[in-house]
Amino acid sequence: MKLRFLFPVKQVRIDQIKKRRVNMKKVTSILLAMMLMLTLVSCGNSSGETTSNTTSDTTNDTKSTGDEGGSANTGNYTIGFSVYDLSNEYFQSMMEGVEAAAEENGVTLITHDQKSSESELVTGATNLINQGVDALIVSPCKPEVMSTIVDLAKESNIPVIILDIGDGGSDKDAIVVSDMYGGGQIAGKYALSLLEADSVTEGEFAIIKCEESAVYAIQRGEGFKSIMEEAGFTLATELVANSDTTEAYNAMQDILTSYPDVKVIFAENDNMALGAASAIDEAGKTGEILVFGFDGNESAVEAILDGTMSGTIAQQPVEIGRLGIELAIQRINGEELEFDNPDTKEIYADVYLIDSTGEANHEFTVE
Amino acid sequence: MEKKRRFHIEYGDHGILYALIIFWIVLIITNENFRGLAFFQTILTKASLNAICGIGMTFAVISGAFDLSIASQVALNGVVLTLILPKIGIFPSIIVILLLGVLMGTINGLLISKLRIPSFIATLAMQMAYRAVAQLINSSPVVVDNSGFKKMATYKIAGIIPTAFLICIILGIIGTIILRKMKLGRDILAIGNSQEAAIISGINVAKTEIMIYLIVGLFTAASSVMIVSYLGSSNYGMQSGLEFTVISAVVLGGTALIGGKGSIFNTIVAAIFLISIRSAMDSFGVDSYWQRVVEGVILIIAFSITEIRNIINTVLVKRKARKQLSVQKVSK
Repeated sequence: MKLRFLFPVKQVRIDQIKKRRVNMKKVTSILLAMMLMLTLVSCGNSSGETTSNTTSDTTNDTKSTGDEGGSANTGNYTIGFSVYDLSNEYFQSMMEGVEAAAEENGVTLITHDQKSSESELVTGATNLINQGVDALIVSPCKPEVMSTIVDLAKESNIPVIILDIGDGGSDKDAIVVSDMYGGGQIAGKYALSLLEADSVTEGEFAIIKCEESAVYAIQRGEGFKSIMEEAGFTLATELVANSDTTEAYNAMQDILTSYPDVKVIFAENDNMALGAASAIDEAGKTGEILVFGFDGNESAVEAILDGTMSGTIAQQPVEIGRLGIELAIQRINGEELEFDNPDTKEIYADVYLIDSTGEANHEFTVE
Repeated sequence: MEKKRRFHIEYGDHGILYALIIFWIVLIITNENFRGLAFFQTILTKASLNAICGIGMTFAVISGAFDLSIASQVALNGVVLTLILPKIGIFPSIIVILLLGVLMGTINGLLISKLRIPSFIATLAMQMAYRAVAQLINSSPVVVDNSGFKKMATYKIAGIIPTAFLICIILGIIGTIILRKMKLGRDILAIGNSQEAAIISGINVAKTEIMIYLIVGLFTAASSVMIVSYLGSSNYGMQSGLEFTVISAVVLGGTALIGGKGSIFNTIVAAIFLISIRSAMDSFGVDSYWQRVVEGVILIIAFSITEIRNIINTVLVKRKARKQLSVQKVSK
């Protein structure tokens, strides 16, 4: 009740707000107008423009006809695809593969972008399941969330195909991954051949890592490490930069200060390799330190041509996306899948080296 | 008369609620995906997670400050929760987490009220610290292996109301009672209006500030429990960026960033509104890049809404005054 002493302040507020009461109606109507505009924007967008929508539009038609006649065997399937983050080139390519395969097979595709947020992943996947998809394809931003999603999908008998990243120990139908360990080994072999050309036979190397939970990304580093250590190089440090360019830039600066003798940097993805390359560039050590990435992004190839990076391992996200749709259709039809590793239900997609000329190089292969 | 007017002042501004209702109606008409109960259940469940944090944050924003550490608090709570859950069971774990939330809130409060560190700096520092502690405790992600706990957030009471939403409403009512009916709430409003006036009128500002961050910590802890249940897992890197989503919900709900006024009810509605927009854009197949544009625009609108209101107000007041003047001239 001490507030009573606040009379002057309160008095003013009452008067102001009294006036505002009258105006609130106008404010409300303005808000509503904005809402309607937003809705119109979203309506306008849904009717075309992007490729994902054109596929869903055309196939929506087949869906309605399919209900009546039951034409093609895949024509009335609806598949949901939840993607990690479309601001990343890699997942854009994966999306292209998924869209192309969906169109070829006449499947209705509903897409969702997790924007790297795990709760967005759960919400989006739940929404896809609620929309009655026949199969769910997910490239999860946080694999550990997958078991929740697989549980949800199993309740509705929906098969789940995971693309890349990791399965988080979930009971999925299949997981499509690039041959990560092999890719790391290819990078290691190529690094050794370059070092040999400079007649360097020993020294230190460092690895910049993705999130700790990205088990497949870790295998890239492990593959690289196995080849390098076998050849007598020593691991200086392994730093986690969470797949992020800026974090990798900072990590690289730390490495440059703490381990000035490092000869080779292996980043578990290209975004981090680019961050590391720019830190090396700023320190004026381009050429002295070899930088390798993983993913084969266009920006990485450009960096290789500029000479700031030495090579990258190209994954084939388009292939992974295609495989996702094909496996999903097989599962909807009740077919058994052929696994490369039946214990973990893994299906491997091939990787290849992009060497310092910026071209694909198939000389170096997995043992 | 006096009573009625006060009622209007405290509960009167429902712009965001009308906007939400209209938005939902438009969605139901334009998109068949929205005609099922399941869709709204998903929206309400997800929104409740943010809204519960938002209830606490509303107190902070009303006092003219905010807490940037909540996302890291959620991460630390989450990591600890998944660690102790298999050992001591669901209810004791929840109590431990609530206490942990109170502890973190109190630390924030002490830094801000006793050491006079600005809330922005103090909570930004603790944002890093809490997440680092979470990483120290467990740097690898954990999947919850307790089906009862996992069902908690998404279970539908009577097949209709998601538990998370019910808890959110109950906590919202508790929060509203604290804010409107208890001395603490009045003190917080007073501090938000004018800290000097609050000191002069004998309010123990330091104590109240500690209580504000304690409340934030408590509600964030409650939300953490629901979030871990919803995701079925924890990870020291989880929920980064949550503070921004929550603060925008609070501000979109009409709580002014300069403090002094605000409504918990509107915060909850605004949180639902933000999630509805996201889900709607997904359903309409809006291109992912446009989604980001729209989200950015909404944030700008949210953070400028107080000022937009003020501008409209001044224009209207001026016009009214002009009208009165012209009327006076005519009558002369």
